[in-house]
Amino acid sequence: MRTTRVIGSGVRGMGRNRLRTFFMVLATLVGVAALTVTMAIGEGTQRDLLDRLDRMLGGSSILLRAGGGQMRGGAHGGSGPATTLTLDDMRAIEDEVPAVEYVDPIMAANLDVAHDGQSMRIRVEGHGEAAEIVWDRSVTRGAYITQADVASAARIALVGEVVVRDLFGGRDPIGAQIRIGNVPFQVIGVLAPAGADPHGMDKDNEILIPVTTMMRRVLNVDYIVNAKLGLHERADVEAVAGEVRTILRARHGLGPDVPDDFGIFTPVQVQHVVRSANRTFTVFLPLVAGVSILVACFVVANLMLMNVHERRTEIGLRKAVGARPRDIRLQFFVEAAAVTALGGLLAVALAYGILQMIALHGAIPSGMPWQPALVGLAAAIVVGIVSGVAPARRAAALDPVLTLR
Amino acid sequence: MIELNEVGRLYRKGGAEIRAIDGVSLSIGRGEFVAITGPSGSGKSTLMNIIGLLDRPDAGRYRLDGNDAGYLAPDELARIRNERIGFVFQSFHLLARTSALDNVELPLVYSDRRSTAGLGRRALERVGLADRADHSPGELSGGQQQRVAIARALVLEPDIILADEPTGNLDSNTSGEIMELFRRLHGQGTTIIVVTHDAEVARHAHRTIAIVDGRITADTMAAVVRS
Repeated sequence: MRTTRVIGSGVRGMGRNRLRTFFMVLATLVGVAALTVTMAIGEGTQRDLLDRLDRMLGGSSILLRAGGGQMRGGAHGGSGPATTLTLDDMRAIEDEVPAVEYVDPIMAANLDVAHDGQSMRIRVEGHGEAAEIVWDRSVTRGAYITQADVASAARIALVGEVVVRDLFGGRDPIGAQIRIGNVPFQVIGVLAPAGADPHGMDKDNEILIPVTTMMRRVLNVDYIVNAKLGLHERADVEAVAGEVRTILRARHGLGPDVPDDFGIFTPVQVQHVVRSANRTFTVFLPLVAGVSILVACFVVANLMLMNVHERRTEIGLRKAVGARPRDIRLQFFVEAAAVTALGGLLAVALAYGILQMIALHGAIPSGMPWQPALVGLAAAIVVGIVSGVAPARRAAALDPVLTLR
Repeated sequence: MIELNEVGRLYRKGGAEIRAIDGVSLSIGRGEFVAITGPSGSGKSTLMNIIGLLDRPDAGRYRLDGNDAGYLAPDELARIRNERIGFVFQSFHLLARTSALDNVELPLVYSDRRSTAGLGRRALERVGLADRADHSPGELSGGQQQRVAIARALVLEPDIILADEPTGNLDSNTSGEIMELFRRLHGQGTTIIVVTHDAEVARHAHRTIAIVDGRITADTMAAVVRS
């Protein structure tokens, strides 16, 4: 068929100037690879972040924080001291809101922890016994804290894997004595590994003790700073948040014009915050990569125009022997498309090779999303079309008279 | 077959108008061997381009086999060039790094004919280069390259061969061989039109049309045809 012959003639033309073909493929390759890699990293980290977020604040939970202001930290717009949230508040919520199944009061601080002559500053979190369920994190060795432990403010502690490594030199810590602040504790369990939380804190570099112990024996305070509420699966989270707010406002004696002296965070809100913080990965980097695609377009278009100019005699000749304008357009368009298709395929292969290497070093989570590959290939096609159309039309419009003398 | 009636072609360069050819009328019949001669800039190449449907006249009419070329669409012009006209150029214009056979078969790419097998080889045989079918232009002498170009012009067995200074890049011996080839082709029935400034070359033709400053100054049949 004629179209097939024209395309074939054009493809053979690519082989005649290998260096230029190579550069066009290279330009596409770099642009598409950059785009694919950054998109994959962005997607991977975003997904990973949302996974961790889900663990922190899954579908049916609510986070409470003492003190007004936004979760993002920085300027605290609210008023009131951060000392108004109490264990009694938590009991009231648990009693009065049926949809709340579990309550985990939290009080945390960075404290000096000593063992066997060695002292380190470690994050110590005081939790209730419901923490095991509410955070979906138990112990791999030993036992978790119990309701009795919380009721009696027992001096027992659970340590994370990094603490085992750093403070105990990798030795089994169960039964060991440590001092938190100046208070002696006994280690009764090792927390299951959890990695980094959405804030970037290493959850394996922590010690967990009963919240009552933290309040009474270590910090000597009568308030808590955070709490996590575990709701019934089918609960209307926003509605429950409203109920909790009403109860707390009443208990804290806040008049109608007084703002909340606490913060309530539902999963939707938090995800929103995380997404916008993650915009660097999901918008900014691909934007930069998009620029590299643009550059690839310019390079390929420029090389194609050079191609057309250098081969103007050939084009004139083809017209003289019977090529119609659309035959010429087709030939050069196919050249651009073939070059960018090749560049695109190689780019995706290269990109995933690079991603594998980065994942091996642990910088990004492994498990490649496939969408960036599609976007990469689509980008290659766009480069081909954008860069091929104008030169092809220019070629077809060449006056053979001018080129054949 | 070829009829020009008061044909003119203008070029605009800067603000000035240049009349490449002006008021040219001539008629070339089937089977003729014509040389169009004139000094450089005389308009002979423009004339050849118009005859070969590579260019359109601004004035007058060009009829090919009774059809007015001025009314034909670009696609139709391309088809006629493909089927009925073969071009030969001074600088051969062969595709580099491409075999002689592939070069000769280039017009077949754009042909609407169903069966084109063997036409390439046959054309190479007609010019005596069947044994060089897989050589690329770099491996051929000037004369051989021009013969490949002539084979390309012949591949679809056109009625007319248009040659623009076909021997311009060749030495005198090779020039003679090429003109000999043209004579042979003419003997086989092809209409040959050669554009040249070289009187020696023109002498091989049966008829010479002289053109100076865009106008025909002479149109003579050869008294004695060289054999």
